[in-house]
Amino acid sequence: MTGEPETLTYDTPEVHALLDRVRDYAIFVVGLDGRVLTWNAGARAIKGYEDHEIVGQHMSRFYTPEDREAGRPAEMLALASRDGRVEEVGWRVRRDGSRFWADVVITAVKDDAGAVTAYLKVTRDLTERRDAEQALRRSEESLSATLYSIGDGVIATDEHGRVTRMNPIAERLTGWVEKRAVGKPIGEVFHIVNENTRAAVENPVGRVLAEGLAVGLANHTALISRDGTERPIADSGAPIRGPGGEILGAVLVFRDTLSDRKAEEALRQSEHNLRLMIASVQDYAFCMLDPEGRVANWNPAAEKITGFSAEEAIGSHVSRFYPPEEVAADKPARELETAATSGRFAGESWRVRKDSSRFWAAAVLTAIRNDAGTLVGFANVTRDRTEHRRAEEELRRRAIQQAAVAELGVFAVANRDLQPILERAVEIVTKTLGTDLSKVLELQPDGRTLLLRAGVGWREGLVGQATVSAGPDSLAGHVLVAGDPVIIDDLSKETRFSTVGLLGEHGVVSGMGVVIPIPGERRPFGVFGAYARNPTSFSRDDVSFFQAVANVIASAIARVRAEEHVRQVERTTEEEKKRTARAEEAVRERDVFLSVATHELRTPLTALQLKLQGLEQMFQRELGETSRGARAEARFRDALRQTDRLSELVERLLDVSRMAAGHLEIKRTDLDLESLVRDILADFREKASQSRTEIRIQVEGNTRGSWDRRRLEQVLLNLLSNAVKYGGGKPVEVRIEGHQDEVSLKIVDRGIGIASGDLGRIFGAFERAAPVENFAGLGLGLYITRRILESHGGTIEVSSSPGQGTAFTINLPRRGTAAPASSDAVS
Amino acid sequence: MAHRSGTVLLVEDDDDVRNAILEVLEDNGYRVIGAANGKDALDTIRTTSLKPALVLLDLMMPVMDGPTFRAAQRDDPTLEGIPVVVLTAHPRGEETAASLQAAGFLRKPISLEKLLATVGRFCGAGVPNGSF
Repeated sequence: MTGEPETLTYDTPEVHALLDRVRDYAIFVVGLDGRVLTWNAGARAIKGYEDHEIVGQHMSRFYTPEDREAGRPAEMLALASRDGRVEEVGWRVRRDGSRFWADVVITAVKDDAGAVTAYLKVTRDLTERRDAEQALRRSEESLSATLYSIGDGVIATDEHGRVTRMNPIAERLTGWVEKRAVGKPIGEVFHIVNENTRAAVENPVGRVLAEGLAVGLANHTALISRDGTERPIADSGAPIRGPGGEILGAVLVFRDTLSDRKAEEALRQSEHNLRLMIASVQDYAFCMLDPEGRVANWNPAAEKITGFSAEEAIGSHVSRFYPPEEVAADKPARELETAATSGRFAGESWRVRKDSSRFWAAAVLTAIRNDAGTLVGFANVTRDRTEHRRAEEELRRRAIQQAAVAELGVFAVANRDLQPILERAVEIVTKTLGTDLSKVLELQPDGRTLLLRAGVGWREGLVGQATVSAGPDSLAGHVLVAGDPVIIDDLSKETRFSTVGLLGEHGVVSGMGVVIPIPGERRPFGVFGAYARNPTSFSRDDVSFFQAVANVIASAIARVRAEEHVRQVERTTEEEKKRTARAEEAVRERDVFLSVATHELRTPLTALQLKLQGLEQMFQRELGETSRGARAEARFRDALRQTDRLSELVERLLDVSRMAAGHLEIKRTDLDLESLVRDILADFREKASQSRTEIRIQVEGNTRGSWDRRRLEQVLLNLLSNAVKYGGGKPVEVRIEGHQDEVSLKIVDRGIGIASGDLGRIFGAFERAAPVENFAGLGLGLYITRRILESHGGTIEVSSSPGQGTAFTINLPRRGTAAPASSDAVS
Repeated sequence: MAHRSGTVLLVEDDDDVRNAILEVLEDNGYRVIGAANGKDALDTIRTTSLKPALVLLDLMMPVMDGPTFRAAQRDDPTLEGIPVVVLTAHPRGEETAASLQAAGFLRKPISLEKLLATVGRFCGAGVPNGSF
């Protein structure tokens, strides 16, 4: 409380009682200093504070920090003082910190002398309305999509109030088609008057655009459609805002309230029937009937609606305008009877025009009695509600169609197989559209024929069996290339295709067909068709429904295919696993075999070698330096060289079997690759002195690292002997280079080279695909070499041109991590 | 045939290998006792008064393998002092030999040169016996 005496007068029980009745508005009385003096229950509800928490507090606490920072509260009060009243729409803050979109009006309260004594602040929570505006704004981007599905009439305008879009309901209510209306000022398309005074009503779009606020329309507004039809409507308008809040246009949503107000309208009619009848001569057929029900009086609207002139109608019994079946059921007489006894009869039913066509009539029959109470006749007011009924029918039909699409969608989701979905689709279409035949045709792999996969109404033996041509002269072929749904009004007059085949045979007159696409594929699944034996015109809704069913089928196809694909992948993976297991088993068996075989080979070799050496020794001792001794010596050397080769082969076999089993162990010691190479070369030159191949070495950088000496010797020996063996006697170059983390070694020969087709497999061992020559040619050496290098974390590469020579490059990390052991099956 | 040097106990299951080693050692003046497995070897040296100067021991043998023989030998005070040289085709024969506390090892296929050098180390130089 501020304690300012003159403001206390607002804090009275009377004021409270009055203010508390207002619930939708937060009402505060604010002192000159901006502090809250009192407030109402609505304020508590909207702001979330208790009385003791807020009375005496500055009103700025309802503002956002940004607004407070900008001095907005004080500015508002100053404006209210100056102008008497200020209104603002903006964010306000609740007790819990949440924000709400508020409409705030601050009115300066002045004393008799005109001095401001306090402020009355009225706040309305517009959040809901703002949410709606925002939803509208968001939907603007996809407005064209949603616009057309809204049950109310919707017209969108640009910022100048010119029509940009309208949906089918709006088209119907205004009598304008969208194509014509676009670009027209809203006032021309959306022509509204006061229903009672007939005065023009200000178009809400103008206000929406000028004020940027959503507005409702006054009651008793009537929309005059292009053809003069007048409909009571309820509407509202809202701005369409851009991302920055700028107004891009307005959207007008309106609906025909006649149906809402029918009862009320009927009552009013009965009360003021005569006046109304005369006032509404345009739309209401008005006639007076004598007590027996014969026409005594016939107005121009009656003539217009029924087609009967006054001369023709007058004197006829009212039953002339009823359909025969209703006359037979004595309906006209019963309605007159009801009106006579209860004063009034109102109802809707079919009537017959002069040309025998029917129209849906809303009729009110009122008994007219003289002052003495004697029945002198009936006043009959009839309105042509055919269009209205058709619209309702359409809505109902559309609802049924949507339910049918939804049902098919649910069914499709629950089914893994396509066939039942196709069968359900043709059933649903037949039932919903009331057609006689329907079908799903599947395009066959040859692309020239389509198979009748599912259908309703076809003679026995066709479904699942019959094929039709996909050629351009057939309906199916035409549908496949048309893209859009193809509608047939009368098959006998069709010029777009000539082959009617099965359709003609089944007496088809009308129908439609659409392509069933396969999502993500260019080739369609096939064609979906529905046909009737009677002339039938399909509405836009029917076509949309039909297309929707085709789309459900398409999605089902996509899903079934995706599932099949998954199953196939699963099967493949399973087979792959089995194959891998078999391969691994084979590899394991081979390793065991190799290991045993090697051991078995080595044992007799040991005996053979020792026997030979023993014999050699013996001969040497016996024959000494004689010529026979020298010949024997040479033969023993030859024989022993063969046992050496055999031992070497056995050792390699053992190496390979160990590597294949992943048992290659690396014992690292500090080595200098250069000195290793030089040692080997010295040894090598001694052994292979007869080959006379020149080997040149180039060294650059630090060539030290931590490697397995014995294994690297194996590698170098293998590569060097290959280079010499296949080098054609030309010099072999060895280049060793120390890099940052690795040492590379390149051995280049100028020999016969390796055919490019073989390059990929020279490092392999037992691949089934590898030809026997692979073994016989380069042998196991390169395979062992590769595995040794990999065990060091290194690599080996080869490049070669036949006739030009071969270059092997190895890279050895100075201290590498061994690559994970791999088995041959995957190498 | 004169045997100037110590006796060698050769424990090897493969007849051909055993005979080949036996032959060349005898050719070079060593006395060799052959045994086809560890058990044979133990039986032989326990019943003979002449203890061998060296045991050449194969590792993988039926009935009783090399390591089992070696364990039994080391448990027997009358035998434990006899040096053992392991004959092995195993790539890690060196480690195995060390684990058996063997005096040395020979890798199969065995070269005559190395065989004679090793045996010579424990049994003294043999006397070549070179007649047909």
